[in-house]
Amino acid sequence: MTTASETGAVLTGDPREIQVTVDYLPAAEPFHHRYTPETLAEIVREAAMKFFGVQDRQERDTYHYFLEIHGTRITDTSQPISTFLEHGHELHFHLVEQITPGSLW
Amino acid sequence: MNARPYPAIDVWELDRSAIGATIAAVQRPAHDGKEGGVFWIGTRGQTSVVRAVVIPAGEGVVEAATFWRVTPEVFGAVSRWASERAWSLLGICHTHGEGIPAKLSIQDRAHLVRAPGVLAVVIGSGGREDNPQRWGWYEFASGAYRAIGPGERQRRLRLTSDADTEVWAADRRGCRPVANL
Repeated sequence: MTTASETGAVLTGDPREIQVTVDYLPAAEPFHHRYTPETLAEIVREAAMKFFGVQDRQERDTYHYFLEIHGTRITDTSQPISTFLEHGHELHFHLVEQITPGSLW
Repeated sequence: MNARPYPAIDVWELDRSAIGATIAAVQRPAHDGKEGGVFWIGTRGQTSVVRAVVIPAGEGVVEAATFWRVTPEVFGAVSRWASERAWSLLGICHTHGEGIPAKLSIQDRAHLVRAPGVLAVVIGSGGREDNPQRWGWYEFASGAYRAIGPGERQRRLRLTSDADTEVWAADRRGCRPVANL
């Protein structure tokens, strides 16, 4: 069976699917979704940002949201999420904001 | 904005022990003429209860004369610790130096977390102002921080005296309980 999820990722009923959880510190509940192992980290990042109502932005400074896992920030979101799997079929990310000061700093 | 992760908050419940821990925590950077701050963490709901004061300090925290900054790694560490307890960030409390009003600056408004219902609290007089009524109180709502005046605070901020607020320190490596401030 193949279904299109609300986040745009395609769920295939694949037994290899990964249950992904993303926390965001101000939120009362996490983002949950199942993805295929090949799903890019960027897809998860964007879906989580949409769920939490935040977005990257550029003002005087630059504000960018990262996924982090086990204390490591994921800077290359073109990697499939299976890259971050240590064991089992679950991944637990945290969404954090990076502020890069602009030129006036 | 997705309402699900951010239940509307009618009342913030804050024990006086949290106020005391907050004031105590900001004295160290204040002594060096620097800004400092803490996170108020707890259960979020119609009545949101501050359960812990988390003091970011050390690796991943920048305390300077005119700003206080917490890096994503520290946010991540606090996030991991809070998620184990099903707690959320309810407020960010930071100091302004002597002579600087206890009001959110343009820089504060841009840099603080932007999530509905999150409190931003400013302690004036370099952290020596110990009367919360003279602190600046703000709530993030409809895309911006707005001031919470005395009347609204009276309705929505419930000060208690019967709970022991936990006190934790946080850096990029993780969170650890603080026995004595």
